[in-house]
Amino acid sequence: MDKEIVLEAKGLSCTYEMSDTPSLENVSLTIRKGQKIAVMGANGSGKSTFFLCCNGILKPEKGVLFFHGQPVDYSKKGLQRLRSKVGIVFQNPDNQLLSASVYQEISFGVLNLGFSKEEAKERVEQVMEEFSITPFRNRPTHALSGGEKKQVSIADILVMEPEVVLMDEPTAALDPKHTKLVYQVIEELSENGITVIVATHDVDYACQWADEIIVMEKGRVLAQDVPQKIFTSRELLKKANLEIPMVIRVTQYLQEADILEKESTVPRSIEDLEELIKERRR
Amino acid sequence: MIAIDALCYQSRLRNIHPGEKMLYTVVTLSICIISRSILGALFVLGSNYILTVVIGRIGGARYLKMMMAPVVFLLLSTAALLVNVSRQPLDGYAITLGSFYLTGSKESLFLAVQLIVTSLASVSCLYFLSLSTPMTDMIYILEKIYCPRLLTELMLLIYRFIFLLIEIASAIYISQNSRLGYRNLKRGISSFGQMGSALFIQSLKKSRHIYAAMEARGYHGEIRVLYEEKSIRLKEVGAIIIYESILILIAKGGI
Repeated sequence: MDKEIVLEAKGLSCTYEMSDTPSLENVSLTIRKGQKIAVMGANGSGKSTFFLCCNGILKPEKGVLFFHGQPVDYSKKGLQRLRSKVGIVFQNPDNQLLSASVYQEISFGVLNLGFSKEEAKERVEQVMEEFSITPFRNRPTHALSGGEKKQVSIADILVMEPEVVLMDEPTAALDPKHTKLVYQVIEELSENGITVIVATHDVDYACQWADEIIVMEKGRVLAQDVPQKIFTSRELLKKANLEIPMVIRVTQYLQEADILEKESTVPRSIEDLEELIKERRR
Repeated sequence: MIAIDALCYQSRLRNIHPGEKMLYTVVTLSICIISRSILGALFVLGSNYILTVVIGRIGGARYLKMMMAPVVFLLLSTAALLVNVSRQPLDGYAITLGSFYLTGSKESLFLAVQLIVTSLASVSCLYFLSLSTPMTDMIYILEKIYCPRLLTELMLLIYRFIFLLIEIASAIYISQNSRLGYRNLKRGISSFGQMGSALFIQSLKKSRHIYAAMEARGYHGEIRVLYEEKSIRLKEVGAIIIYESILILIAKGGI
């Protein structure tokens, strides 16, 4: 559990222009290497703003952001270094894709990293193959479906091989097929040791996937803890307007009905719950 | 415009090096315009039909319909050359109208035909290029021939965002229409104005988002992207040279 800290925020505060209330207020948290983090909270709770801070797009007014223990250097060079290691997949692909050609689009980030054309080409081809973009690589981006655009916007970032990937509601407005695809990609990233931070409203997914959950409300961090703790704290869930994941609700019902022991471990997925029930039967 | 854009991605000629296609277009177009030869123009019209429809597999009916658009325009604009009202009949034709003649000279008839045919041939050259070469490929060639980077970067962004603008505009239009925003002229004008201002604000917002997304991917003042390299085939370049030579011979040989 005590892996190296990748990102650390200490008292970050950030206010948008023409706004009275701060978008981030005194945000402190730590993110360790290879962790799977879900960031949850209502719309406007500061998730996206926090993401923009992590990548140096927004410079906090107060507080310090540390990357690998070093405070982020906001000079041109420093930002370049940070952005080559921390990538953001934006929520709306139309706010991210800048070229009409899929191939050009994906190559943009790699070339910014300073790779030679040959190396860049190799990487782009490889990423397109990996994320099954090849079948529609010859179509212009404006003729792609929402799901295909999402695939391209994820490839955009992954081609840069970042250490930390931030995804802002990656499955918003996606059909089940593409949702599954995105979740698979996230799983593969974690397997490759990449730190993944996902902003999501899907409590069931967050509960079973995340190592840790960060709950935000009105620009503040309400809690950062393991899902079992977060989703059993009714007070916290109420405050942040979060639903209880289905599996935990069922467990609580089973506990009340004396089918499960009151002190049993908290299951994070249906599979965990099945295991618990089987154990109880024995 | 959107139809042409969608079609060019389906063309069988899409994967030919854009430089070859541009070379063919520019040279053929120049010969057409400079020589003004009717025979040459007919030859070009025929070969562009074969290139675009038969080889490129763009639907024939659709192609002819697209060619009709300039035809209408040309007929209207050459009407002044064709028709004169005069007391004296000219040598081309003359229709009596009381004490006047509706008439035209042989020379002006020839001039009108020449104008129509060569203009159509020139248009067919441009159609050939735009129905076989996506915009991104053309930008690549412009970059190769040292067009300023600022321009090519702008073209890359504009080409992408024209479609986004149209998409958002049509979404707004549909939602306005579904709320009776265009029930009469007065409401229609007001709705249209509101759409304009909404589009303006949305564009500003989008540009900020895009800029942030570009920065997040390490943008530092220059949009550099990879182009899919297509190979120049000597055989095709040779064919273009032979074709242009034949065209020059035809164009030089009189009318």
